[in-house]
Amino acid sequence: MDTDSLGKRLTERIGQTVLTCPTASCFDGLPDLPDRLPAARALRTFGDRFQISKVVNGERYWRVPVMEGECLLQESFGMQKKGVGGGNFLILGEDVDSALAAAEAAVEAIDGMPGVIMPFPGGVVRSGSKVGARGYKGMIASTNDAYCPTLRPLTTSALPAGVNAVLEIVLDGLSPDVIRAAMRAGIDAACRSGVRAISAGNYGGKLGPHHFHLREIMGAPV
Amino acid sequence: MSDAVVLTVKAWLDAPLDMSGITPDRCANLSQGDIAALPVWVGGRRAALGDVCTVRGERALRLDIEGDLDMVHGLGARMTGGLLHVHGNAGDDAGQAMSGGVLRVDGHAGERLGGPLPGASRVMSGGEIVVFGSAGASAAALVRRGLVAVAGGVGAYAGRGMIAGTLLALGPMGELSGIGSKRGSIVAAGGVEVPASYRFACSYEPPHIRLLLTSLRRRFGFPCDPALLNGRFDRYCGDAGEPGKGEILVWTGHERAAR
Repeated sequence: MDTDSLGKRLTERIGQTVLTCPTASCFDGLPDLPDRLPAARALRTFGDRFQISKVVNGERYWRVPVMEGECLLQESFGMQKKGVGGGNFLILGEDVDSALAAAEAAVEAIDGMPGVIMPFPGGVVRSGSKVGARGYKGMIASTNDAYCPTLRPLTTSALPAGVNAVLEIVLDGLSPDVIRAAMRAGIDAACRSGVRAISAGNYGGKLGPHHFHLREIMGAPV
Repeated sequence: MSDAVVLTVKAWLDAPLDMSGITPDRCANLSQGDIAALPVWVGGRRAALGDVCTVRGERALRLDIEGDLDMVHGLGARMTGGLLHVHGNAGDDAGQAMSGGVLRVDGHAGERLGGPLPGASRVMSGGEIVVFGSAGASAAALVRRGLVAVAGGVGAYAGRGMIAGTLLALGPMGELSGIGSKRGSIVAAGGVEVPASYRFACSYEPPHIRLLLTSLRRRFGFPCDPALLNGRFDRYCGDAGEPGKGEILVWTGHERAAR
């Protein structure tokens, strides 16, 4: 993703998730980086000229009036160009309740660790994907049928017996090391009653330069 | 080059001393001798800064002023950057028409804090003024941008005709505060009689107040009540007329219930 695209996506995501969420504000987590994305500059216009600018300690913030009160958005955000996107692991559960409880435990363990985020709502993903599609040309990604329990007899399934629900934790981080540390903490927390196995979407080792081998991660010293 | 330029007023003054223009940004490239030669006004008489102050240090973006400063006016006037730290009270017109940097006053400030030049040809257009005591009348009048934060009370006509910017007072505010404001933000944590030309909007917890107070407390040790951070404020919009986008936020004294 290039700089322009990242700025547009960030604006969209803040607009769809932070601006809409009661009591939420949005602040820059990378204030020391010189490359800046003025993502909230466009969002201020949601205030329809009722928005108010405030500068605190040299940083500009926008107070956007909303029905709940005000949404406070920092104007610009630091951009680290060399990050790692798409670290992941899969939680293979006996049922959706067990898988979800394990996934939420993993998210709680990872949440707040420095340099890593879980970019999806609540940190948990149910629609894991594979690269491309078998039935439609031009699709970048489609459902990860090998891990869909409902497709077990129709495809080359990767699911062991007894697995009826799979959830994914997706991680983006500032370096491979922070991804490894977060995966280890998350997998540790996810190993609980009702979880049959932990796996990962490896995409044949062809998606991106970074490979995270689960056994290596879990065997490595803390 | 030194860490700071320190000016100490030599003796008790029997006439007002106008130090407009003696600012950190101006001292940043001057030697000690050049700083001592800068012009000031004592009463109606022109003098050199070295005649009324001892000067220590040179070429620094930090300026400390010490001594009996009640009669010293125009401290930080027209400053554009750096830090000016007043160890004591400041006279009238402190921070007049400043456009950048930080003016810190440990004691009280006189009238027209952060005010405009006479005739309003230039107004405060940036920077921060932090006063740990109280301030006199017409604080933050006609401010266009920037922050004026006062730990004590402020006199009458505070925030008069503000174009934008922020005035924060933890103590009581005098009468007719915010009169004629266009887009200014006035935060009254110690009570204010809101002018009749303002209209009540709502009672809410403005997130930027928490940000502002936390920043002031971390950077300057600004003495704000922790209850203010989660406090509920009444918002009044005004002043009447165009554009009428100014606001007065009055602390209600109620803290948000824990969730």
